[in-house]
Amino acid sequence: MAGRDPSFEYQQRAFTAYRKMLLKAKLRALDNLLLSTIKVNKKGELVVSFN
Amino acid sequence: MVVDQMILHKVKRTLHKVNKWQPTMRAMSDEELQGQTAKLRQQLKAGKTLDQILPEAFATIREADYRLLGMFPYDVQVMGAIVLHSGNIAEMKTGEGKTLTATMPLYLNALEGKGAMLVTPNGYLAERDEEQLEPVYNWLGLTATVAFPKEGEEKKKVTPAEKRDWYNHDIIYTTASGLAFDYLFNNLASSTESQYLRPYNYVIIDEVDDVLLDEATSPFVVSSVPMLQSNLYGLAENFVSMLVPKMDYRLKRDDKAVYLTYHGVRKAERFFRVKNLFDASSREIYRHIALALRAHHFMRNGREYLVENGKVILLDETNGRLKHGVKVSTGLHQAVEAKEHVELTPNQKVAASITFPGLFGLFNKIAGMSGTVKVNENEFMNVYKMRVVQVPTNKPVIRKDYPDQVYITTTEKMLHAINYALQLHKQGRPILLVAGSVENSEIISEILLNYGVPHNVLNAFNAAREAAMIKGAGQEGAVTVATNMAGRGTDIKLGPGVKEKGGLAVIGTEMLSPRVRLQLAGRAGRQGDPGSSRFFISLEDNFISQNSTKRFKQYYRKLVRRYPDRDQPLHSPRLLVSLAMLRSRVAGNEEASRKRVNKNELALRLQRDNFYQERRQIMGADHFEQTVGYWISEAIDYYLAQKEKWTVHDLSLLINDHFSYDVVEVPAEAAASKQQAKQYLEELSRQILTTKSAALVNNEQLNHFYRSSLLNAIDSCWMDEMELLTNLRAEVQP
Repeated sequence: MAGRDPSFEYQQRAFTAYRKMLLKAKLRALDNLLLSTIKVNKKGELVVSFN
Repeated sequence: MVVDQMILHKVKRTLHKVNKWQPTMRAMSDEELQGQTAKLRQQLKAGKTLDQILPEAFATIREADYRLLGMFPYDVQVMGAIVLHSGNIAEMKTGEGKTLTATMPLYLNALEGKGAMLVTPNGYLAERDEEQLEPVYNWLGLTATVAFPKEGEEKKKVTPAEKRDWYNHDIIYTTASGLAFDYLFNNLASSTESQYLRPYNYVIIDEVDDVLLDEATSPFVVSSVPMLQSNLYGLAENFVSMLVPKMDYRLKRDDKAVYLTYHGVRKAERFFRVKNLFDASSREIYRHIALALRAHHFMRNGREYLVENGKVILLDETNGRLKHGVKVSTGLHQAVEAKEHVELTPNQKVAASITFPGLFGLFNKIAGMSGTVKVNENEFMNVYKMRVVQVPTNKPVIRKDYPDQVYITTTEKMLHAINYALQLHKQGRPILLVAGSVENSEIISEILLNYGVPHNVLNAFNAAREAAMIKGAGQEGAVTVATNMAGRGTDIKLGPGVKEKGGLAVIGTEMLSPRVRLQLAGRAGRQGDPGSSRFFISLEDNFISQNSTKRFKQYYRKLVRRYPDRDQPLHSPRLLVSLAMLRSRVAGNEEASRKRVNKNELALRLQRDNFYQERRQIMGADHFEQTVGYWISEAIDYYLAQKEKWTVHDLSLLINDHFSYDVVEVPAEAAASKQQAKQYLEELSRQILTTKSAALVNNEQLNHFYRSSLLNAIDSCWMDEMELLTNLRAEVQP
């Protein structure tokens, strides 16, 4: 971190990380929606399993 | 100073208005007084502001306090209440009745029906206050409760419905940490039914300097799944205990640094059988050695932590209490556990975290009270935009604070402090002897026993008997040895005949930060009682040695050489100036570190707000088709952008990875262009979703499926984000 303002660096990296996270969430949601298995258990409750 | 006077003058004008109502209220019958609540609410509805109805409301509850509790709040208490209502900090000394003061702003702000809270440092105080005051609020037609399971009640899991009921009360007494955890869990809930908080409105923070300054830098964390545990802790521990000081490692206590020498490095390479300790492949080994070294030399049993029932529990530096459930991260906790040979607890991933400044930033209005905030006035103004107003005491404080007695070595200091204590003990005055650490409190206790002085020891080990000990601490001839724990919230009442002898004497045996010192001194001389405080310090105290400069150390060595067995306190002006500078340097450093944490927390807060908003939207939604369609389209865009050109084969691989495990025949035209590929993939996902929804009976189940899919996705990503930010923080902060 030499020669840089650590707090600025933190804010900036945190921001990029958040943007990335929002995208990753969408990718994971796609997997969850399409690849998950839906089962109904003995009690008649809905069980969705993600991987 | 002038500004203080002006504010106080303004407060006094409002006080005057409150006092004018007094005869009217006194003349009212019980029923009429009870009807005031409805009347005041009517006035609010008619467009009056809280400030406008303040005098009448304060006078109402003041009279109610008198009729139900037999206590009529003094003028100074009303002044404190006015300060609290304006969202500022009231500095009130111990024993001035902060509990009663808080009733007035709580009542006034609860009239709006948006809730008013009082947070205390611990559950015991919240419960005691609530129990005492609930009748008053109820009598006036408001509801009050504590927001945690009461002592003695079964410790079962509290349902969201119960919590919602608590938080819907008009007036809530709770603890700061309880509130923080409730906030975090509220936002981890997977459905609207399991949430329970309503928007935060008004809060009064008791011991505000403790909450917003001392605790500001340690976030509250809800952890989730355990991380993979490394098995190197034990090994590193064994290795480190074999090392020879100076030859294998160097210790720089003042810089908080410890590192291996060349010889130590070679030893490590032989022990762990690696060729080069600084090679990337042995990075973890080196990290664990560093952790074990730190655990050995900077984490001391009895000072930084205690071992209780096979568990390592951290000690709070400022107030000497145990911090249950709190851990130091980055593996140091495990290294300490390995050092103490107790079972290692897994390191856990962070699911959600918040600091006190972040939490209280969510309120519309915050106010605070404490006995010792004037010292940090500027910081409160700059960071929280809260002004500190010193409320005069009902009776003047006549406690005598003697100047510090400075000695060169710890031994001299201790002997003098104890001699002084013995001398006062002979006069029959009750004594509060403050030790710097749990360890020291035991040593002092040992010495007192040698002199045959009966006494109580109040430290983290016997916190359970705290209330009983404090009760007896003001009796004639009582000696109480305590850690800093005795500083907050303890109200030592004097026994009969003690006042004539000179009241409680507080004797400190270590240099402390000005605020902690003031708190301890404040145990004596409550409500105009006599009392005294005197602190014995030595140049070897932790506070000094950790923060001193090179020059100061040379000076210390010179003094030791020149006066090998001096038995007098030091008086040199140079020394006093150096000490004053040291104090301000420490205060400056602390402020800077809080500033940095707050700055980082700000970034986190923006993300948290944004994320929680997004999350709430998903949780509360009834139709997901649009969101789902949008998200899928964005995800497909991302995947397709990974490659310049897509073949049928590539597409079917992608489909098997992310769309379906079944064999899907990809038509040739789908690979013709990206647009067509996208069209095809969107159509495919729609098909898959339709097939899935066929298995679901009704719309509700379908929504449930969508909701949990989306929540699961964003939650797991958020957890990774929190983890990343925590690590980033550790990396950025020197």
